[in-house]
Amino acid sequence: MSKIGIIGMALFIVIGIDSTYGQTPSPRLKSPKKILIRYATAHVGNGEVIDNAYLTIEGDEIGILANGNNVRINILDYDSIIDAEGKHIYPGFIVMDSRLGLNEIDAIAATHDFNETGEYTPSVRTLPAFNSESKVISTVRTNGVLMAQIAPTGGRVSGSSSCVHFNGWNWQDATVEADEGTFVNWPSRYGYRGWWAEPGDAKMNKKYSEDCQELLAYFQDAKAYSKQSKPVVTNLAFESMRQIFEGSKRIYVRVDWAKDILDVVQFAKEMGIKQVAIVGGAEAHLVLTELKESNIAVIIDRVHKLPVHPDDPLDQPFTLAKQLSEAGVVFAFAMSGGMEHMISRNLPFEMGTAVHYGLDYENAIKAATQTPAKLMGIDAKYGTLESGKKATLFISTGDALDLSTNQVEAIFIEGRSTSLKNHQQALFEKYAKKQAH
Amino acid sequence: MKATFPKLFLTPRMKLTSTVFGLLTLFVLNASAQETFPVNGVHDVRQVYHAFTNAKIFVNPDVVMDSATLLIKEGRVVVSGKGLALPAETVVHDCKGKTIYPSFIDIYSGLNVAKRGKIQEKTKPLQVQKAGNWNPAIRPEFDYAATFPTEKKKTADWLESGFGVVNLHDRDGIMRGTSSVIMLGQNNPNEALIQAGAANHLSFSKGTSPDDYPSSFIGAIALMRQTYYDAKWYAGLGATKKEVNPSLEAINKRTSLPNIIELNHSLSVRNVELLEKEFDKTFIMVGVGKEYLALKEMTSTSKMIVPLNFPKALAVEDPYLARMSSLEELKHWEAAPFNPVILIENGVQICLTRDTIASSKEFLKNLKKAMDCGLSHKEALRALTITPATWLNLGSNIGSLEIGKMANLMICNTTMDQEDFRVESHWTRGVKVFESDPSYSDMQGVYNLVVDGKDFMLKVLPTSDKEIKTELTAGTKGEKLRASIKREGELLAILIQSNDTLPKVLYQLTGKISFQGGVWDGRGQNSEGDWINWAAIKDRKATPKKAESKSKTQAPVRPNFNHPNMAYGWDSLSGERTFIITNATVWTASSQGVLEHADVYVVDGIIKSVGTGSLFPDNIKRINANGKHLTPGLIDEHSHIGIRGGVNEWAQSSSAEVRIGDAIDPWNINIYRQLGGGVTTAQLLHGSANPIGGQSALIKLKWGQSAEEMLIDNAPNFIKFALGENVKRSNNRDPKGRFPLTRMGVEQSFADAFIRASEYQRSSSSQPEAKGSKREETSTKPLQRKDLELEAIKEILNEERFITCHSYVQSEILMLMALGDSLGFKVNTFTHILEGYKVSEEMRAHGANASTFSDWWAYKFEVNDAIPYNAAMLTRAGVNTGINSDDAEMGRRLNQEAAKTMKYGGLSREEAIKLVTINPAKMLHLDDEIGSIEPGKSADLVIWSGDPLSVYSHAEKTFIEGVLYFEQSKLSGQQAAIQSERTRLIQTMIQDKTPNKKTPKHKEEKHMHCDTLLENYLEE
Repeated sequence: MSKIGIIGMALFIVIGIDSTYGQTPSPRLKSPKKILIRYATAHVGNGEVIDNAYLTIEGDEIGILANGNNVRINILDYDSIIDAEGKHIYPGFIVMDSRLGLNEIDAIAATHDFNETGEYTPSVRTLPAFNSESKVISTVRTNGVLMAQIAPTGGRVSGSSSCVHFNGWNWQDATVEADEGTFVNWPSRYGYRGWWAEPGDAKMNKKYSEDCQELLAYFQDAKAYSKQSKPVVTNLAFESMRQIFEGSKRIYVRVDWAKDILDVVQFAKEMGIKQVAIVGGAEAHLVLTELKESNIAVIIDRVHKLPVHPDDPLDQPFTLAKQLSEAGVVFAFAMSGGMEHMISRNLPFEMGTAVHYGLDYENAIKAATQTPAKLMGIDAKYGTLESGKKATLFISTGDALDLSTNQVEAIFIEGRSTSLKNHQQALFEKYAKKQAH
Repeated sequence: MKATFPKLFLTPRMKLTSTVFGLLTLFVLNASAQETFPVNGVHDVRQVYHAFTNAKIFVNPDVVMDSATLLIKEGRVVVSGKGLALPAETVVHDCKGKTIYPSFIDIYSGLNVAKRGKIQEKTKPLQVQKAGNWNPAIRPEFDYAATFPTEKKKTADWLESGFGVVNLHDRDGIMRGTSSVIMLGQNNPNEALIQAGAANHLSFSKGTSPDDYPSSFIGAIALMRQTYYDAKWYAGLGATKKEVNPSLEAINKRTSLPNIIELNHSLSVRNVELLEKEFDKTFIMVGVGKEYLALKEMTSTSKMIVPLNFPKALAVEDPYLARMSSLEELKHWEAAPFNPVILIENGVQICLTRDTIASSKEFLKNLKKAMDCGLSHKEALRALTITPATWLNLGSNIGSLEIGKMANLMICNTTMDQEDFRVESHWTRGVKVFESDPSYSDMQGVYNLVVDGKDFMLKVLPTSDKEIKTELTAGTKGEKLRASIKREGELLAILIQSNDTLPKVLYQLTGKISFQGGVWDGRGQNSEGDWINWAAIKDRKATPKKAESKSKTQAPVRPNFNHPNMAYGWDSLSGERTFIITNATVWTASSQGVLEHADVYVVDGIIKSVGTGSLFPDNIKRINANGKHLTPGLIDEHSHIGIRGGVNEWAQSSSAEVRIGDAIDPWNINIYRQLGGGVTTAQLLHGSANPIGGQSALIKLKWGQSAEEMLIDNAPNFIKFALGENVKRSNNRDPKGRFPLTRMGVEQSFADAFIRASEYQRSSSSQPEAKGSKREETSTKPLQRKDLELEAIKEILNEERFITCHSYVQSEILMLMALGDSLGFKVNTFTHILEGYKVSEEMRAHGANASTFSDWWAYKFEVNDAIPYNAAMLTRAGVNTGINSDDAEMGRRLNQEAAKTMKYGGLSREEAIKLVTINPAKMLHLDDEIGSIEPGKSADLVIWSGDPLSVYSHAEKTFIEGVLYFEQSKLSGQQAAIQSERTRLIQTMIQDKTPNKKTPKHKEEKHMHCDTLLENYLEE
């Protein structure tokens, strides 16, 4: 069999898998066992980039990744070969603090599973509520976002987040790391009258310090509880926080104002919590040194947003990533805020904006791949294109961070070729036929 | 005595008693004493004169006399002058060193209200059912009864601040009825009242009205306009009219009264001017204190009541918290005291008001501040006396101390431009109604005290009003002792004790002050209980002179104002509108496509030529755009930025009468941010809360210009319609709420409106319109009532107004087009139109345009089938399609949103750029002027750093009509200027000694969307 014939067959196989409709994951059995992607530009996710890359997928893992000049491969060893000359391979992008699978339609409360009642609900877990079949997820995946941290939003201590990938039959199948973090909504010095559309006057939150004290006391009790290896009376909430004090569970604190961030820094120090990230951080650029010194990561909630003050530089939200990067503060991206679930598909473009406003390109990739994997403690297997890691990656015809060139041609999640179809594309095809008549 | 005395009223019976209220003394008239009242006892008629001698007397702002006498009798000024011979029956008050002013008049007093403009309690039950206007916020028939405030402490405080006369009304609603002018301190309503029904009062706040309408600023204006039209129409009705409407009758009866309208925002000056023109009325405006920035909105006849409640310094010591105060706020803090003088300089007539200022002290301090900032003594006095009197048509009765005027006057220690100015006593209707406590500051100094033959040195230190601080030593440098002094009028009590932890009483002294404070003396007891004598003499030499330098502190420097006066406002704009942009990649958005290395020649803001290889005169400015891209200015067909007081008048299913153009806020930072994203034109739309929304405003983002200048001249008229979930109140399913609740009802809302409008049109063409208040006798047909709502819908039927309709699903899109076909209207644009791809053929056949989002979905049930391929599919189907923002953030990345259509649906680059340039221009019927780079079009241009459809490009320069409004390279300089100006102001603020400064508040921007409903549209 000639080489061309093999390639043709390989493409057929890949395309054949693609044509399965909808969001459901591709059946494991049909996946080719060994796949070679070659000639592409590979963005490793650790800041490196490899030209003329040869990347092999063996089972659910990456076998080899190397420049074609430095590697010898027998193409006959591969069931499927993808020629990707001029194209780009990226590790699947990871969106942090996400409501994907917990929210289907913003306006319909029945589709919401992210905001539990109560102020202190740390034991609440997003994982069993995660709907891997969400129509929204399939539209996010097709832009290169293949994994997410699914996080709750309610109360003061919202609950536990988990890391999932976007090719699971169900939440168990989708699980990458269960209950890796605890989300905290830090009190704000500013309390608002009105509501989201009409925020009106902000006033100093007179309860701010009281709220902080209450939160601190809660954590103190939880910490003391965690010293008991076998408590007589089990406290489910405190049980879920045990690992925070043991150093194996991260807390993610939603906070924006510089002064409030300093309080978080102080809080983490006082509680001896090692793994801390703040989420939001609109004024994080004012406290870079403090964040760096206390090893607190920043999850940028949204790049495409308006400055928080009219006097701020117009591009302040666009340049935050660069400022964090230059200061050596660890950072990753979320897409939280308005329309957060569906707009997650624009994560690559927000990264693109950050690049245009000064962030190094490969650092931008890193902040959506290796960094979140490290934050969630899954970097041994996820986040980069490295031998032995899970083959969770995509191929884009062009630069995935630019609007017109982000064309995802192939998706692999844990080695499984994954559908490029979604609800929207199906409608497109259906009505394109109508128009053609 | 030569002066002739005018004939005066019978003297009211008066009896003076003094009552002490805290530290202030208020004289109260005890008995009812009107002429018409029966007398219980012996008649007490006091035909005596009071003379105030040796005073500096301001008869009026222009006439001042030194060492003069003012003679009053029976509540009126008899005469004033020098060397008057006084009648025998005169009580003489020696006012040597004192200054006498006519009482101030507060034409907009807040004496009767707790807090202005915050009345929003909907829970207040309606009173008895009564005839009036359909909308309870319209109550022009209401009379403010002369139930004047009797809270004596408050009244005394007002008298102490100089106000003897106030104009009060009931601050509730949009048309609030008439006010009453009253004198303060008088105990009897009939005597206190100077004028009932003095002025008509209006505002933009609906107050306690329980009706949902109006729910926006634009609705409040529409209601005001409709009411004035109704009044006109009502006046022309004969006896056969169907209803008697006391509100409309009141408006018509009270046309001769002054109209006083409270502004909610300094930019509302423009709205008042528009009302004046439309209804041939004049208004006196009550400002908010920022009118020095609204001079463009004023006319030569503008009348303004100016508040002196200047913003207070904030606690900005903490640099993080200081960030919460914007440059705009900081600048206003500095500039506010200049407001009165700037208005006067610009020909605006002003009155000053104490409204909303809590204390007398603060008012006088702010008055002094305004004078330090350049308001002359004369103008200040005029604005507090003659002008308010004249505006209230009471100039012949009050406002000065001319012969025959009411004897409303105050005796002060000095003139009001002095630091220590105090009102010592206040007289209204010739009666002393207020006397201040003696000022302890007079006592300050060093005294040689002799008690029982022993020498002491007593220092009375600078003091607050409440206690007298002292230092006492035996001899000049001896043992330290303690002295505590109590003063009551001119009487003193002094306690001298040892300076021990348990002080021993040495002397208990009592005595009096004489010789203008120079000598104290009296009797006392020593520790043995023996009676002794004592005396203290002020050591004039040792007493420090009042710090002269204090009054000579440098006059505040008037700050510079930017346009707008906030961050990124400019000092001046280059007027150069003729130039050549050379060597650019020009995206013409026309049939010429993209031209490489092309030149665009702009003359006076108009594109003259586009192309390559032309030769141009040497003397023309060249802008080298080598390597850059040039596109037409982007056009946002669907925007809600820069709108004051709400985008939705949602309370009725049709609000066609409201106009977004009434509420443009040119000071919104998002205008500048969007310029920075290359946007030059936007349609500011009403929201989508009801089927027929309001009229749009088409503006150019001319940052730093006025609302009027931003509005596009002779722009076509547009109106917002809406369908679907917002309209049918998906979040508030109360069945008793506003119709409609389903898509079934939505259809009927439109059908009804259009049928009513066409019938209205038919009848108005056959019937006379109400003209003026008189109707021609010959006409027998009933008068046509002008209905602003139907007028707007009528315009749609006549193709004088175009529809932009918020829409999502195919059913409703087809419904509206079908309805239009049957009732004779066309849907110009479907906006959002996320299921447009399903009905593209039908839309093309109808001739509708589409203005859509690039990729939004999943936020409502009705966008379940929204797909990002929509724009491309509509374009392919031949529907003129645009991409809009509906969002202040997305509005600055419209180029990126357009670029997504290449990814989703595969449009070409040229097709993509058209989605945000020529296509929206076409749907706005502005494509003759904007939307492409072609000769003859307006030079609305954007120079991009690179490919405008790439995420790696940004706008470098944005021109509107040839004027460079945004320049990316200047941003860092602007930032530095903002920083240094902030720093300067923050440092000044820190030095300000205001006690209990408040922490700055973060003002979260209102982020308006289609479905934004406001709970209180006046909260700024």
